[in-house]
Amino acid sequence: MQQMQHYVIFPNHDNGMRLYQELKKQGIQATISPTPRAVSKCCGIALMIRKEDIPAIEKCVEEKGIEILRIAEIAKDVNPKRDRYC
Amino acid sequence: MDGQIYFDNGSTSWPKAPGVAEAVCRLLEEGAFNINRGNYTGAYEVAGKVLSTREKLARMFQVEDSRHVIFTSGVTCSLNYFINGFLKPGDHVLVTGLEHNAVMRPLHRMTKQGVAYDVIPVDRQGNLKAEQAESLIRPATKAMIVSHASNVCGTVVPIRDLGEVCRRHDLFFAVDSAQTAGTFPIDMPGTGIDLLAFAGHKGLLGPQGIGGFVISDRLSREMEPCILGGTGSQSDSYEMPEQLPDKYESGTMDLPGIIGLHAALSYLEQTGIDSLREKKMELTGYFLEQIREFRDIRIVGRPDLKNRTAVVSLDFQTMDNAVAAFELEQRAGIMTRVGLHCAPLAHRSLHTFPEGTVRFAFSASNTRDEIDRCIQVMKELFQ
Repeated sequence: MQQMQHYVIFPNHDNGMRLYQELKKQGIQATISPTPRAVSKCCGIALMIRKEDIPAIEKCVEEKGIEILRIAEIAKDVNPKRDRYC
Repeated sequence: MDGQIYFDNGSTSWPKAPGVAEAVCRLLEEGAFNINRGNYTGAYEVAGKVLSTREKLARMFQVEDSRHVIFTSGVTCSLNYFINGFLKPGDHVLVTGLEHNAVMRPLHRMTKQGVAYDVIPVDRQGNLKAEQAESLIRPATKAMIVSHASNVCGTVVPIRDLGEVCRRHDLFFAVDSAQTAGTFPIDMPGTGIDLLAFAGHKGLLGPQGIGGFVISDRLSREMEPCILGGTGSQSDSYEMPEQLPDKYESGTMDLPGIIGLHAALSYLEQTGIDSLREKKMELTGYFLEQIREFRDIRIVGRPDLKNRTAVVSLDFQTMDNAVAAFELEQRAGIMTRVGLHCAPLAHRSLHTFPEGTVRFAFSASNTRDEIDRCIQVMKELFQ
């Protein structure tokens, strides 16, 4: 079964940094990463999160007034054979 | 700087706060990565420091949301943003008789595009005749732009009263805190300020080249960005983002400046601006007390400590002011600033145009011994 990765996507870097610091304070795991091109044209930062933390993250976003675009789910795409045909 | 005495803190503070130089060096040597662009851990660490700097400034000016803190090169740039990005042909604004050219030059240019202004007068000591403000308001009046304290004579303007006038008449209120940020507490929402322009390198004790403005929610919906370009966000669009701070922060930021300012703000938080102000005012009082003994030196502005900053302007009656400043430096390494201080309107209001004044601006790093030395040289020159 294909593994999925969850990302919080932002309108700008500032909101990404704000949420990252809030989650860190609350002990919720998050990793800053470039926004996957597949989920947004906006070349900002995203936060890689765990699926089970989504409700807590949504609560934090709401309480702290942090602007996010959405939480996206995409297939983990580290495939050494991608685009190789022989 | 042995044998030299720095009394030009109205231009820029020196020495800077402990830790500022080290913080700037550390950034440059250990990784001056570009935030909002670089997608790697080093850049995210710098971004975290920038966010922390915004939060410190928001706390200092009592603003809840630090996204409203915008970095620019300083007060001049910030006031240009307001004057060029907010005012439109047909608008009328009020300014005070103490304004710097950071207000008067962009405003003068806007008069050629149909913006008009009136000046709220001051008396000879630089005290604002605030009671006259309301009578100058017209139907087209959109805003009031006010220097919190004069960079020439140090007189402090009653911004709370003026903020109240703005509130009553639904005017936008822009305040230039070049001479007061880091010295006086400023409650931006409590005073009804819509744009607070600040310099990072004067009372805030950071490096030159960094400053900014704090903007109210309602003004951020009205004020257009004057500089447009890349923000590292919403890069697929030719439109500027509406989000703060991106709306007003195009191009690569002055990260060494911001990191230096971060160190300076940490110092101010530890030390407390009240204790620094007390020290500066104690020195100012000591200086004024002795200057009053000179018959041929005129104190321009208030002769006492009421409603003033640590900026003192003197007019030497028996010597050209430029020659007096030159002699002070030649004889004792005393650094002052002579001339019109980029504020011809203020000098006209204070009746010191065009001869100007010699300005002494003290910091908490100055000492009574330095003032004693200065007075001794003045005695040699003028008594």
